[in-house]
Amino acid sequence: MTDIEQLVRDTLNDYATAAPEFTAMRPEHGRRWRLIAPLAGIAVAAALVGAFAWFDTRPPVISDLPADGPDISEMTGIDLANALGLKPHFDGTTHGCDATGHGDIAYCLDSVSDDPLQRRIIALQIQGYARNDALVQYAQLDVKIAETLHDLGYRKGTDAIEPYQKQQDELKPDLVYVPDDIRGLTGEAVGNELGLAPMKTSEQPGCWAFAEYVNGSGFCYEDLTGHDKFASLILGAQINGHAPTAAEADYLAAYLEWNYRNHSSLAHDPDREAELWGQIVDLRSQLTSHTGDALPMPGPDVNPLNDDTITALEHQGIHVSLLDPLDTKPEISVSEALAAMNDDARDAEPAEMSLARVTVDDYLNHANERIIDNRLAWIGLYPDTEVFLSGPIQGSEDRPSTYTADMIVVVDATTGDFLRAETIS
Amino acid sequence: MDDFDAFVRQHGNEFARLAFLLAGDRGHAEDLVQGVLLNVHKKWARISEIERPVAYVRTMIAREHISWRRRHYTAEVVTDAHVILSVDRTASDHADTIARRDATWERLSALSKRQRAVIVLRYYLDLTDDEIAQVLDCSKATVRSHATRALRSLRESSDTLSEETLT
Repeated sequence: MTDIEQLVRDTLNDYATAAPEFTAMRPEHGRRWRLIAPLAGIAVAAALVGAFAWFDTRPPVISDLPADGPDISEMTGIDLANALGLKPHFDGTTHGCDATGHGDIAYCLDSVSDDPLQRRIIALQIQGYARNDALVQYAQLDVKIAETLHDLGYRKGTDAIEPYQKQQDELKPDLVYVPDDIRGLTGEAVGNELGLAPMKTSEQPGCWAFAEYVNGSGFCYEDLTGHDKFASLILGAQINGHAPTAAEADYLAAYLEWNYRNHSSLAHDPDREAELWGQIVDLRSQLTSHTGDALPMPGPDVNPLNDDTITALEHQGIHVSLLDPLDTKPEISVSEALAAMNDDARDAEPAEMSLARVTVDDYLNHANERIIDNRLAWIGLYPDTEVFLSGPIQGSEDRPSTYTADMIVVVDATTGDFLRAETIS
Repeated sequence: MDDFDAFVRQHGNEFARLAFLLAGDRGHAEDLVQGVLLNVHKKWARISEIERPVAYVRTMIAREHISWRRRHYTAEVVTDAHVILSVDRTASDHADTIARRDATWERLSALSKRQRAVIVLRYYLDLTDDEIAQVLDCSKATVRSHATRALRSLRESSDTLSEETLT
């Protein structure tokens, strides 16, 4: 262990003693009570957290929603925050206030209104949702949840808010998400519209998708484009000042919206996401002159998944329907898929590999829906792979151990994204 | 749910320490732990059946901290300058050691969430890179990349402090 590693270890152990005692995280101890993030969805809950703060400690504010000025009822996102004159907090954090956010940027809402409901409505609009009846009702339920948890505390409140949460679930389909519109923008304006935090190029923290808008400053957008290389390239170029073509802009818009909805509690919409994915696939084929390097079949030493493997996968809730690559012509070639697999398979070669439609039963998103559902994917089998068990907390449990198992690796055959690695018995 | 209460009583502080080291401040750590435990509470029947629920919850905490969704979550974060003052100092600690650790702690806050998570999981929980990759749901190469960049950044900070101390 190097000196710096030892210093880091000592520092962490030292500062661990300064962590809050869990028993102190109770409302009866008089601290602000911020617990509902996962209950109402992270994005929604955040402002509720602020509502607690308001109930408990917030000094009264004298201003309310302005009667004059621009009509904010139809605005969303950064535009609304700017119209309200809110100061952006680029590190995504605010200090002791009722807050909301867009992308990396947080805004303190205390100055906006002294009415918790109004603040909730504004918070949702800034997050990107159009003000409609469903949004207002959703915000009202947020306030009720906040009041209930505040009055009853954690244990009793958890049960008491369930009816409100169910009502919110019923309202979610009627919430209208308005994606950021970056068409026609280039350079810094792109990042501003998307809610990206500007940072110095020299200080960008290990970001794999970073683009400069002027020499020395740029945006990290890795969470917006994920591992999609086309979306990443297009957005990066746009931030660099290069306007995308119409097809590129369409592709980027579709991917950004799909990615947001796919990760969002409120905007998640399977039908819309399926529609967007169809657009993404179509546009990708326009943007690429692929297939020249797309080997139609795995190499001669690699067999297709055999019946025993398929049966073992079925027992584990992984359903595969094999396809002929010659007919399907996947976007991602065998060699590209192997490259993606080998990162997680320690450079071994698969014994079996096939193109397939893949569904994984137990791999679910926050909405309990399958993440891999009838996905066109390459699936490889790596026998006798050394697998590590989950590790211990320092000094309190057994040392880590390994076991040997057959492992399957799934790579999206359209995007090349690594999807899943799992052992099979 | 009695066993859930017992689980929280037994491991709550452990989770709070991990969350604090990941988040860097008390307020954020409280949000993180309480949020995750509420999810655990809702799924306790299933989670209590798994072999190592503590490790599972630790993974939930780490993933929640770095998750994409939290970028859209709007946290109320209490400035934690007092934390530095409240760290217990033993008599054997020299001033420069304290200064270097405080500087390291501050520099940790400048790392990205993923880099910091890798550092905490590797040097506080002593997880291997493979285990960290599983916890963070990424490849081992990504773990190594984050660790290398983070250590380089921390090393540069440490060197700068040493030079300032000498001068």
